[in-house]
Amino acid sequence: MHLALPNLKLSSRELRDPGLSPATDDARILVVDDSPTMLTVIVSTLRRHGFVNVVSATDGQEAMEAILARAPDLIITDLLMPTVDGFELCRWIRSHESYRDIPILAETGLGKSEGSVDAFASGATDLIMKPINTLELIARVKVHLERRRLLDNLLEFRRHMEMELASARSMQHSILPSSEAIEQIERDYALDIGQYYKASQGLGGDIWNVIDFGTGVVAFFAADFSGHGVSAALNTFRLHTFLDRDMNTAVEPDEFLRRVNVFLCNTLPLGQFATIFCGLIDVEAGELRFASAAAPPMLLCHADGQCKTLECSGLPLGVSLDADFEAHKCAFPVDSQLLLYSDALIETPDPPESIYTPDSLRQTLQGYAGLPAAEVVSRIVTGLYERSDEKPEDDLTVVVIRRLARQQRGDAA
Amino acid sequence: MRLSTEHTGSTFTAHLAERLSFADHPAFRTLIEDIARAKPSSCVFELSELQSIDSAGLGMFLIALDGAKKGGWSLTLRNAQGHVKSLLQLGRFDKLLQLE
Repeated sequence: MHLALPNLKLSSRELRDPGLSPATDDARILVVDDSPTMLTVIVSTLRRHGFVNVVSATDGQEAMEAILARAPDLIITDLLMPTVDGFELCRWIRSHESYRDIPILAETGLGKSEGSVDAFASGATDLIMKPINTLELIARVKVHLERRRLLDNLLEFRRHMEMELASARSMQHSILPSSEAIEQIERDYALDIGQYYKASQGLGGDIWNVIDFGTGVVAFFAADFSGHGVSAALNTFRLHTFLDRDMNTAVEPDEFLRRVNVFLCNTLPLGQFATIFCGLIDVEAGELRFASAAAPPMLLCHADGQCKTLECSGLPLGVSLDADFEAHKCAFPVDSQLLLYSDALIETPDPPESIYTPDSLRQTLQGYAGLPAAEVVSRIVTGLYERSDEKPEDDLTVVVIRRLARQQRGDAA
Repeated sequence: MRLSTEHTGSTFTAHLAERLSFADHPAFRTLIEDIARAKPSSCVFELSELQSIDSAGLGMFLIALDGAKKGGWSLTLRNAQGHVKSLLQLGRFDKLLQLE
């Protein structure tokens, strides 16, 4: 029996230095030196160790032209050269955004520490001492190519995550009420609504909505899931899907909380919950009916500037199937305004250093009587950001709903 | 969160100080495991030096409560002050846990 063996021919790639990864042996390396001898030594050393993509230049000017033609992955350059020297070449490379991350190894003579400092100041990444130790040269080239490869991977991963987050952020904004929907409700019910929403980490656990079920009342809620970031954001989508599918008719606020609580108790893992404030505005009756599950103390202000804190205590949703929720109601006459917010407003910076407390927020709001809702929201949020050195650690939602007389609508808009 | 614990007789006491927040989740999980290993009949979270808490921190108390039910030990939150006390009251945690 005769077995025919394939005729094996090893390419230069297969004969490469076993220490080279596929990402480094193809690396394009530019060697710049005005000494033909030194140029030959470095280029041949690199090729002997498996680097197949080595180009050379005899001064800085020629190097610039080579870089412009095709950017290398690594540059080895002499410092003292005619026309454009190595220092100027380094500065030129670092002044170009697209070349800023290219590693530059500068050749320097032993004991020339002043030149070394200048080389680093000009943008060199590392130094290679002359006379050249070939093993050290190869070791340094490998280290910097590997470092560059890892950096590229990290940047690529970051770019990818940023794109994913931007897409997810856009989806999250799509489950908040649109400006068109808000304007329609404002027109139909003589309301003036201002809002601010900002997730702390790109994605957030806050969600709010205002809905007209066509029954003559405006329904709204503001919810805040425990934690923040991606997991809390996913919970806002869970809630949105549930409400869209199972809660498409107006129910009284306490009943709304009961139903959402059952859903969240069956959905959320241990340790996660939501705080929610929900209400119905009955414009004809001039009445606000509401219920709360551990939402921060919301505020209701009247035309004379007097503000009161609404009763908001109650078990958070998703904690106990036995939880029950109290129904409340109060007058909501023309020129009243309701402030809804998430706890980041009164917990930035961390208590007890917070800019706003429920009490100071009430006093602040009293001074904003008569202002358009968007202006009130803007002043409250601006007040927080201007006075706090720290950004909110949690997601921030601020909504003001102000009731207008029918003839006031045009003025507020 | 700054944490210190003591186990005297059948009571395990955890002193929680500074701020209890999302970032403390791993340390809090370890604390629950330590309590379970100690097999106390009662556990007290001493909160007099806990200055603030976020929603994830409140969630950790619920995780501790679950551990207590499964492990057969009682859980008491003691001496909550200021912001922490306000949030426990707002969330009616007295309906779930023993507050002193």
